[in-house]
Amino acid sequence: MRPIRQEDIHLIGRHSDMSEQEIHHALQTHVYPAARAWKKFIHRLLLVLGVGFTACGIVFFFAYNWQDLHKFVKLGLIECLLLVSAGVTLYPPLSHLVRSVLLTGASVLVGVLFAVFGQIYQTGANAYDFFCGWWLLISVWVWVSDFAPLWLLYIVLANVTLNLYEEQVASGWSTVFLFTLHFALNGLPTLGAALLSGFKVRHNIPHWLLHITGLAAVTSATFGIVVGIFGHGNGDLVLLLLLAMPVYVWAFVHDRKRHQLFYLAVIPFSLMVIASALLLKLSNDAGMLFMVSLFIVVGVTLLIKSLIDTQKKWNDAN
Amino acid sequence: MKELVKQLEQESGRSFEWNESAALEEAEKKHDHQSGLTVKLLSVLGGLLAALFFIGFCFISRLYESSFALMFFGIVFIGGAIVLNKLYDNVLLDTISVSLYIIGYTFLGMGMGKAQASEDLICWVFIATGCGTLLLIQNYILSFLAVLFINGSLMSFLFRYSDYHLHHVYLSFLTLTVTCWYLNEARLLRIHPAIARLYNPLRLGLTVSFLGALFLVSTNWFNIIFQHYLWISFLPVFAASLFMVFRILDLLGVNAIREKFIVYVLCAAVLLPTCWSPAIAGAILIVLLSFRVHYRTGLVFGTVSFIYFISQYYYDLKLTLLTKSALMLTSGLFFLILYVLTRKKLTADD
Repeated sequence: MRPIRQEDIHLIGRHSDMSEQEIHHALQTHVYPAARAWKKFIHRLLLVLGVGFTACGIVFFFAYNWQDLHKFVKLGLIECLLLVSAGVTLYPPLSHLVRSVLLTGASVLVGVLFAVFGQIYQTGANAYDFFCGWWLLISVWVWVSDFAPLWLLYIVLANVTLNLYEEQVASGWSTVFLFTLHFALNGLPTLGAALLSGFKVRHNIPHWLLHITGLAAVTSATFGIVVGIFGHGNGDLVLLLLLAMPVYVWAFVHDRKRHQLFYLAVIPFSLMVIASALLLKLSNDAGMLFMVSLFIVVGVTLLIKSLIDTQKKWNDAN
Repeated sequence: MKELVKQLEQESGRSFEWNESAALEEAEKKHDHQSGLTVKLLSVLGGLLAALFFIGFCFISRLYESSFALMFFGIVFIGGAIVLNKLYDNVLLDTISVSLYIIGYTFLGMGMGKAQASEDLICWVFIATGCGTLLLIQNYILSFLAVLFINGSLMSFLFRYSDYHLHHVYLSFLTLTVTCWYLNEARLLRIHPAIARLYNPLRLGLTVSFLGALFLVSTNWFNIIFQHYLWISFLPVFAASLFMVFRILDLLGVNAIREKFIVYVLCAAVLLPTCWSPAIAGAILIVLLSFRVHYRTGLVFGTVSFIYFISQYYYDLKLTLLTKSALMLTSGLFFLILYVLTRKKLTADD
């Protein structure tokens, strides 16, 4: 029998003569954390607060003295921290999680080192090559650690590098083309995971990472297509459509096969936004705005109904 | 469901009289219309988007030029959302209800503003409408929105009557309400079935409103309005936090007066220096309350708020970086010493 949850106690409490004390006892037994959980919570809280405040205190101390430090001391300090945090990950007795967290910290310190370098030699803090160098240099650590939060940092850096490159170097790119590249970049993890599964290679890429990157990919495609509809980048729009539509179909079918609701919700919503943009392109008078409003309400309602029915079918089949 | 009831009966030592058919019907309906986070987000997002386009339609068609038309449609839409939910309590209609509700409030406010109604009157009408919504229906999303509209209207009074320092009264009221709502779950469930249904959306709405009010009094944007005598707002939050500590000590079986006294002194030592920023103690209170009742959403909101408020507190301190560094290092070492001293007692069960 499955454990009793808060909603079960609420439901039974509403339809029975359970007294206040009985409901409280049920919640105390099955829902509220016991003394052991509280001790663990307080224990961890004290550690997190202690480490957090101490680390911030050290950072503020260096921030205070920063102007007066010699440039070699500044760079040396960060390089030492980097070496120590990366070096400690080679210590075998540490758990995989601790080593991964340390490597993530080391990866962040690479960026700090570049920022301090940029500050000392006035290279410009938002130069795309700063982020590009950061992204390239942590590549080996990312692949070796296979740690999801570090992969997320890696993907974020790639996106920032792309944006800054477009701003500072590739001024000839259209907005639609930029969104196409973002779509391709963010869609890679999902496609990669699917390929690995397809070739029966086991992987431990967590769902939350695939969902974040998938959402970023769909958002990029949606924005790109909407901008293309209202803008002039026809060639780039065709390229984006040729890339995005097959991927949409594949992702939709893929999630349907694996009994997951994510792309079954996100992709139809994206198509609704695109359809609304098409309608507004035809006409942006009052009547059309009313139609679009109605279209969204009806569309989302039908989408929700379809999701609930699909979920029910899967639950009944299990 | 029957097995769950049997288990609860065994634990309480008596048989319950329960409306089996109604309970099973509601459980079946909930199971059929399981609306997880994805569906709720879709409803709210879809509702907001549709509302935006509809408001755009009203602007272009110049419906806003008639205050009477705006007020009329506002009342019709709010009423429509309530009636729709009353007649068909169905998650599928949530998107339509949310759209109608938001548009209704917008139109009502715009219409009354155009008709030169005072801001106070508009706020009271919003509050009355929100209270009416809570009395008439117990839909999750609409109830949550109603609580936000009520508290948003109350907060607007704080700006207009800032000379009377009403924010102290409002924060005290919210602190008491939030604490009581979290800690009296069983009592509230038994008062009335409607309150039992409203328990979860009101808990979320009150948490968001409480953290929002704390943000209002602590942020730099409105500091000039709310900066005076902030320690008065701090007192009820501090008292509630100490009350939570009292309940936690009771749960942990700490009975010795000396140990309890030491814990209270340490808590006061941690919280009192933040008396000019009641937001920090408020965020800690939400974290403790949420953990107490196993409420994950509240725990996340409380934790994120705590990080934000404490960062803002140190950022706003008119001290040199060296002094801030010393303060932080002292705080850090204080917590680490506590961690080491309490390690044996707190890890004894592991």
